[in-house]
Amino acid sequence: MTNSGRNPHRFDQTFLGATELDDELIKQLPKEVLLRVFSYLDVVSLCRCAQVCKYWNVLALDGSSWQKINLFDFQRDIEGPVIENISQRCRGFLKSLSLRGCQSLGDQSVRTLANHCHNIEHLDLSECKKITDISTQSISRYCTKLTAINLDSCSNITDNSLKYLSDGCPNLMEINVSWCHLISENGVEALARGCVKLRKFSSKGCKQINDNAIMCLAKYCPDIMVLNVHSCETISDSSIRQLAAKCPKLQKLCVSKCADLTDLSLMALSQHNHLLNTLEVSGCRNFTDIGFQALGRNCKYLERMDLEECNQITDLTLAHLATGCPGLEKLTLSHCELITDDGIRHLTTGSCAAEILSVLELDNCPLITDRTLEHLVSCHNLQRIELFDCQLITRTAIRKLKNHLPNIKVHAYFAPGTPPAVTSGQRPRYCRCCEIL
Amino acid sequence: MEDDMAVDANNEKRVLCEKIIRDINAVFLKDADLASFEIIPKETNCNKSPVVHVEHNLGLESWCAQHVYDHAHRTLISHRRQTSQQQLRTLQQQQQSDALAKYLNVALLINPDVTTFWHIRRQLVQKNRLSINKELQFSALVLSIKPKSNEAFAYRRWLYSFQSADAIDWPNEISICERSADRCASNYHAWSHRHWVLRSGPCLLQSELMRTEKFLRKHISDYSCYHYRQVLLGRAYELCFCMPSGEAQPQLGSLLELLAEYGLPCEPNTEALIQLMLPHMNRSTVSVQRLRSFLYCCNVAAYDMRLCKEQRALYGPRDCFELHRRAALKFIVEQCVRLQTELTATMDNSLQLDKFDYGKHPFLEAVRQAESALGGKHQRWCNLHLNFGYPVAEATWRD
Repeated sequence: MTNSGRNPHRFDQTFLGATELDDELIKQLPKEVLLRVFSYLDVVSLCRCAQVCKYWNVLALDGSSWQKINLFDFQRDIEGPVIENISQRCRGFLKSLSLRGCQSLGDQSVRTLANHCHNIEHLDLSECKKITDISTQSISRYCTKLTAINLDSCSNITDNSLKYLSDGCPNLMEINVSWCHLISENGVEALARGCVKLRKFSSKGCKQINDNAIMCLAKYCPDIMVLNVHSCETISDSSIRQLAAKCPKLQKLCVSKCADLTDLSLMALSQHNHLLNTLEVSGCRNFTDIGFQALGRNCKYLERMDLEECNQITDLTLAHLATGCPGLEKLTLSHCELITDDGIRHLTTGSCAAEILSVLELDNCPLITDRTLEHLVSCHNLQRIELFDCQLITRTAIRKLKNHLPNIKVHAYFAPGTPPAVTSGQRPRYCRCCEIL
Repeated sequence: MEDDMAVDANNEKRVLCEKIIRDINAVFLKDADLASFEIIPKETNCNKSPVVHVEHNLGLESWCAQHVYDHAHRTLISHRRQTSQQQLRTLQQQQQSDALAKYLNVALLINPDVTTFWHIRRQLVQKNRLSINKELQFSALVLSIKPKSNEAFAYRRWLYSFQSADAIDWPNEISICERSADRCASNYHAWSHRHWVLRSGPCLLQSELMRTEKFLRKHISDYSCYHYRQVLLGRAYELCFCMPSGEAQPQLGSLLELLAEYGLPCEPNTEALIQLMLPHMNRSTVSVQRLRSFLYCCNVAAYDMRLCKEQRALYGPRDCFELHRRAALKFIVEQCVRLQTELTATMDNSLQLDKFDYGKHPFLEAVRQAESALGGKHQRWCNLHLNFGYPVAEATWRD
């Protein structure tokens, strides 16, 4: 805003004499410039600016500066009147609003919001526990341009909400209904039919989501890129295979704790979804090397994999992943009890190891020894390694690794710092529990 | 570079402490009947979890105790500072205070003396974030590692203020006090708690008398127990307690023996005893129940006096035997005097023993005569507290 081209000598004025001239300076700037400046400010600063003078009040509260609002820091203080004020101020300008954690917010406020702000595109209502289907009904009636909605932990939401959204918001691309336990296949089917552009769907913790729901999504929404059905325990191979076949654009899939899945799902994914970059399958105990062999062959773009508790996999899986996935950044193998040093050796000789691999989690893999740490010396980008409960690892090996990779964080059950020197002649100490041990 | 390494080391330490705290929390969640906690001395370690869980006992290896405690302490204090400055508004802070429980558990098990942490626990209980039963169990766990912890006992008493008296498991409280007293000699806090149970709970006098006697025989020098027994006796008399007499003549063997020792043999029936011990009493002012209780309590006191004599014979002279015998003697003498001077039968501190003339009462005169034979120190005590009026020489160092 130091527009020195206009009046350079003004900046020599003393402070006391400058007030009037400053006013004029500001008034001489075109409104658009000021509005542009204000558009970079956050909510608190804008409100403060609005208190400076009448001119600033008008400019700061102009709707164009209020396109994107995040009220997360105010949470409990946000009540009906605030939202109503904002809606009336911003009207058609408001595009993105986050009301995460505003627990006193009720349906009435959301209705007002929907009434006034027809152009809203991103709406985050997560953790607003009082919201019910009435809110989504209003949203669907007025906000046809909605592309992303987050209803995480709004536990009163039912299938009706999904029906409303499918009727009124055909442009919807992202939806998150995690922990809305009343959601079931009927709602998802309605949603899928109406919102065919859907790209991201997340229903973590919704136990009623079943194969039928996923199959509807697969059938009607071929553009799905991100699917998160963590803890939806009834999901089985049939729906995942259909999903794989019908949605070739799938990039991120989380089916953690869906313990019924088998290698057939993995093989289907490897066959159809070559763009897959994130795969979280922790707790899927039926997976074996065969499934991962298929994945390793075809899914070259895998970057993050969470295989915690897939305890049937062996070093072969690591060999396949090493050869097939040159982009692997983050690999979790916690509780995979059959993994040995050899598997890690395969991994480190693969194409991802030297420059890309950054996080490796090997906690509770009892067969891992110091040799693994020797192999890992060649992974120059390794930033974090988890070794809790790998009882064959020693302190010296960790020290050696840190000498080679000074930036690495090694998380293990070793006391920080050097152990205290044992002085001779200490009297023997007894404790009550020596009887137990 | 060095700063980076220091930061890295701090991060690793923090992650390690968090993991250990999570492991301990997992044990709490898994085992609803944790009975004891210990710190296991172990200087070096291998890459194994320091949390040991065997049957219902929880152990933590000593190499990590300092670090884990530091971490928990820091987290709790910073949370305290944050929330004292602003109300708990945001979701994040609410979730933090739910997570606090696991830090509190660890910090208090390692260092049970920090009052601030107990207060944070109280706040959480008031907000209904912790269940009272689990809290009682936790304080019992703290007592298993530090039986002399006043904080843990005070916390129990505070928790009980939320429950009605009949919902409380009093015998369980007594057994906790007894276990703590057993482990730690002269455990003032355990015995104080037992006093509180005595005052607030139902009548457990009979069992308490039996238990304290057993305790005395085992821990011969624990004066806290003797003192508690004196209080028991006082309370029994205050409540007019006596054995429910199925038979016409209650068991007063010890009292009769004592009288025989003082050279006053007596018929083993209530009437004769009262005639002997309380000749000038005005019968109409005193209830039958009070008289029965009087005899019962004197019997207990006499039993105690004999017990002290036996202990002295077994273990040699000790202060606690002396003191307790004197207390029992004082009880008998005082109650006799009280009943006969027509004062109200409450514990009146202003009992004027100096106005009492022992000469007129055969039993008390006999006592007075007999007690004078027990040495100068005892004589001085009797003069001071019972106004027996012995002529005593100046104290020599030998007494």
